Amino acid sequence: MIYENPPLPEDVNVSRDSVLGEFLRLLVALIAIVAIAGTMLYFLGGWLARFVPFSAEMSWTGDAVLGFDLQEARDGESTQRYLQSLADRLAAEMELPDGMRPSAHYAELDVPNAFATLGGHIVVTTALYRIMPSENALAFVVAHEIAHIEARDPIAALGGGALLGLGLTLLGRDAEALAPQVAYLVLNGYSRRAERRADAAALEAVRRLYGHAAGAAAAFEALGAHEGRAGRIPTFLSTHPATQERIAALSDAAADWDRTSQPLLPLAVSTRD
Amino acid sequence: MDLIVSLVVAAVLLLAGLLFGRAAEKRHYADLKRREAELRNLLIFNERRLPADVVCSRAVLVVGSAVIAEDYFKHAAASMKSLFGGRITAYESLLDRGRREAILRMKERARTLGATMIFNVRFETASLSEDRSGSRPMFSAEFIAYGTALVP
Repeated sequence: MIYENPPLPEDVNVSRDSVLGEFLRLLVALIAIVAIAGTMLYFLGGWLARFVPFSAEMSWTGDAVLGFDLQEARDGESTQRYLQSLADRLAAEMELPDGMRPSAHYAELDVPNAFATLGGHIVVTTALYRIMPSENALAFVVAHEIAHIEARDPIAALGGGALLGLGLTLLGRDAEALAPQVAYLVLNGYSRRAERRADAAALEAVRRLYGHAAGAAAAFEALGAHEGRAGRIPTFLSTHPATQERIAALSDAAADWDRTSQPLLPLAVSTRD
Repeated sequence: MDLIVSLVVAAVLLLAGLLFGRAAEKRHYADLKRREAELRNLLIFNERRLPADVVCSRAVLVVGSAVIAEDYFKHAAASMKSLFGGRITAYESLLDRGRREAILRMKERARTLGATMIFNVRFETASLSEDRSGSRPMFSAEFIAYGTALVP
């Protein structure tokens, strides 16, 4: 009998397919699946959260401004009252549902920012207030935040983030570690659609209150100028997309403004002394 | 920011695993081919009994063992593949190298004894790293090839 060990062919036990190519293909597929599923969960959570009655949202949060370490501005009581009265006047023009009353806060902070959060709370920072050129500009910012509250955007973001976080938790430990970062990305801004809707509602409210919509674009221009000076991006701008486009839209809205008969109002409580 | 940092770290680890792992694999395969050619005339069989016409004066147990570990890229590729299913091609070359290295070491041992054949060759594989602290431990395995070396 003849015994022999012929050379073995190389490709029997080892696939010659590109491992890297396959890995990249699967990675793209995985990212697409996670992104689609995540987006669906986020919107489903947002849709569900809007069914929570506003009264329930208010009773959960009470007087607390959640997710923000609120430092009321020093000597800011008169400004706070002014902001509240401005918010009330705008809310009356916007015909908010019964029981929905925005409460304005004046926060001590060097970053120009304004935001709406759970429970109908609206926060305007001292830095934002100081750079507002007119009451009309400030009113537009406040009305924009009231529009978010009316649209229930804060609780929708919370509900979407919660459902997305739950989905990630169910996926496993690796994905769970990502949850805070995803939540940060999610909560860092409402959708462009929500922003555009809030802009439109705010323009309408300002137009009803003052008879024209001038000054709204100035709010953004002031923020943009501040950005250029300070070299850092104000949060109100950075979380809000397509600033140039929005400024153009707001300027268009003020096209019919007659500047002699409808002057812009100064801020009732001045901080420039 | 944290997200960007962890993505960059993961990408760097993947790239390092890919480059170093590929280089090591290429080197190892070249080495395997050279040594296999050298030892080709030392025959191995998994037959349990000696054929009647084989003449030998000594029969010695010879063992060859190799431990081989995956790199970071293979780990990621295999984890990804385990989600979708199919051949884990990243591990195929790894296990192929481990088996061949174990056989070569067994053969080299037999060569030093002056053997010309190894009969009753068997394989054992043991998966190491039973570390459960991570969600998916890095994979490493030991391959043992053993058989009866026949010295004429």
